[in-house]
Amino acid sequence: MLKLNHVTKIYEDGTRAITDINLHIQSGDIYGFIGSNGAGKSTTIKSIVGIHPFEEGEIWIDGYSMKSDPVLCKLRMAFIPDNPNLYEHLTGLQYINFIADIFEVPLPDRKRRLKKYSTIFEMTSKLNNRIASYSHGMKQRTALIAALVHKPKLFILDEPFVGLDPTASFELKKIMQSHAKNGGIVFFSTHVLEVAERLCNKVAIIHKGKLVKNGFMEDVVGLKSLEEIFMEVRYESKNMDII
Amino acid sequence: MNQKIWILFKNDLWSSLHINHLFRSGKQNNVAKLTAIVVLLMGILLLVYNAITAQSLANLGEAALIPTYMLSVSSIMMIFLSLLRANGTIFGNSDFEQLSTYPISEKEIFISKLLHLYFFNLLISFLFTIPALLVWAPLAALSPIWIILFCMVSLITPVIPICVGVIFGGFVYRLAAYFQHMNLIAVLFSFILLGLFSYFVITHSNQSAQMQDMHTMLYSQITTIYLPSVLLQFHNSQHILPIFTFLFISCFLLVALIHIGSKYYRNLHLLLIALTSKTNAKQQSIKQRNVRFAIWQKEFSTLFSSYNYLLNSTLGIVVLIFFNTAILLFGMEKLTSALSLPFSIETIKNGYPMFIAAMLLLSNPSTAALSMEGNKIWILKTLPMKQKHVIQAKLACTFSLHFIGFFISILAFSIRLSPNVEQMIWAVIIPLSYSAFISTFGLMLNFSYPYFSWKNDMYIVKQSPPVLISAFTGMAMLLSPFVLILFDILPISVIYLANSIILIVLSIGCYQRTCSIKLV
Repeated sequence: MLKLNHVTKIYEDGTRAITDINLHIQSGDIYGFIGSNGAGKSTTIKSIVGIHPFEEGEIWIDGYSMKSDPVLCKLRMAFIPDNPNLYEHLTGLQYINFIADIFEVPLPDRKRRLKKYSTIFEMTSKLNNRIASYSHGMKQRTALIAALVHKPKLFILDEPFVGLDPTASFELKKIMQSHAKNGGIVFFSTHVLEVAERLCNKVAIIHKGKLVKNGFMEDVVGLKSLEEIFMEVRYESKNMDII
Repeated sequence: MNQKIWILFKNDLWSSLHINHLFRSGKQNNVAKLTAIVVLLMGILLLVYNAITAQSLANLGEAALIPTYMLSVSSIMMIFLSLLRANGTIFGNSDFEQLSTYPISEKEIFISKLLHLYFFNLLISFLFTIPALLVWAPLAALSPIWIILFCMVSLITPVIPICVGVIFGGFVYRLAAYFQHMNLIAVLFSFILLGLFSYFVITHSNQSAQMQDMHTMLYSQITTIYLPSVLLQFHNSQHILPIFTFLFISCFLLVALIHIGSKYYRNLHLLLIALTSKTNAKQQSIKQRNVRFAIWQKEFSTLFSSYNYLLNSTLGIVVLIFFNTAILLFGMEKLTSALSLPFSIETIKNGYPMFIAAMLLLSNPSTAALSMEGNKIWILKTLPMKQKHVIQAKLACTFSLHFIGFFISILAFSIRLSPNVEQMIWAVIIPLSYSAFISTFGLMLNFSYPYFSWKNDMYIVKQSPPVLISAFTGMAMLLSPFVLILFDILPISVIYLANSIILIVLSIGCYQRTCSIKLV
């Protein structure tokens, strides 16, 4: 379970990146996180995964506090950033093995999962090459395999479909669905609203650092499309600014 | 100057000196200010030192030799600097692909890179020529024409060292490109070059010690070490033609370098890109490792993955390995006479712990270890491991490196110098305490002032505040006991003991402070 209670992130210069974010994500959820550029999606995600400290509020993962028990929280999650900058001097295999070492994945398990996911993402023949020689999509796939090798409960992805080819995108969606079906949590940000609408059972829309819509997809969308709702949010905000 | 070259140069300089950060608020501003203060302090020290040297020459009645001496010494220093910097600035820079997409020619890119090297070399040149001029001009009652000539030469002096640095730097990368472990090979070639050059400088600066005439001795040393200095005399009108010859040769070399180098720049970069994209890798097996060991191995692979990082972090260790291997093979007596070192064996025995310590201070990867994570820092921040483990792995990487140099030094010291028990104890304790101090201090500084958004790691390993401050502090920590020993203020054992205790206490403090700095 992932819970954000009144999370606020203030940057050094005093800018409030996100204000009073409240989210409650349960096992089995695929949660889409929608917002314009600079709305606060990445800041929220970076606060959840431990990249950014946050000034107010609390983040709970499986009952553990991100502030007081960060290691226990991180043990339960995997994060894929929008731009996977990996250790370029390592080979794909060395990188995945490094991540598996940190998560203390037993050797038979890591071998089995590595074989499974490298086949799914068509990386088997490329994992012995240095990451420096990979394309953006291949780096993204390597980061995905490394994330899946330790079987995380919480799967957090920032713009996961950017750079992936249609096959890899399709496989990733399947993995996300099966992960949620097996009791895991998938929380991801995206600009592709159609994908979010089809894939997610819950959605949150963030605008100017504040959550403006949040809940089950059908409740948020109603009879409209997610795109229409998103545009309405933007339009209302623009009008408020003019007033 | 071409507008595009100027923009490229300005952009390169701005990002390497973090000038934009000086005008921002917050931590980055403090970092930039700190860098500026440290650089300024080091510059002032060098200025003062050079002014004293020039004054000493004047007191010896060799005022006429001041300009030649200063121009030559600054040129030698610039050659060292260029050999160390040229590859990081021109050939090993990761901005090639980005710059290739802009509507600018390779020649313009290459010239902007040369300007970058020229700027830093010119600063070095000024640190020598300004005090030289200030001491020499009033003594020689110079006419304005000589002052103008000297200033012109000062501005042109960096050209030859830059040419030497770029030619050898390109040569090193070209050779290294034939090997699989390119960075390691490039660093090895660079060390061989630096070693040969240092050997040449050391042997030739001691060779003419038997000459009676001070002027002849100094002039002979200068011209042997740096041949172009035969053209750099400022006594009378007969020297004007050689000075213009020097200016002409420098300009000619620069034009030739630009013409040939700009073609070579693209070819070499394409070759290096092709090398990193090679896909004929061997099949690897996976093994489960302990968390600490996995991070330690990752640290080492980071060290070996960067030419600049490896070159900067292993200089002292390589000197120790070469020097001690030579001692083991030939014995100390033969080595001191070959290098014309003016020390007795007993002095060497007493001072050897400090020599090992000095070399360990030169090799300190921990001072850039955190910043080297760069845009990959998200990995460490999101992985479930204690910050203490990261700190210990980074320290262990430095200690492992130090241990190699330390081990061979102790071996050579004990076998070839036959020290007594006390000398042996200090040979172990002193280097270890310096190693502990500089590693923990460097890492503490890096945790206090990390910088992750770099494009070229040269700025991190050569001129970031932690690197500069730890180098400066290391020197101070080495000089203070050295001065006490030199002036015989206290018995050597008391100095060594007090020094070790202070260093160990400081190391513990630095380690604890580092652990308390939150990475997230």
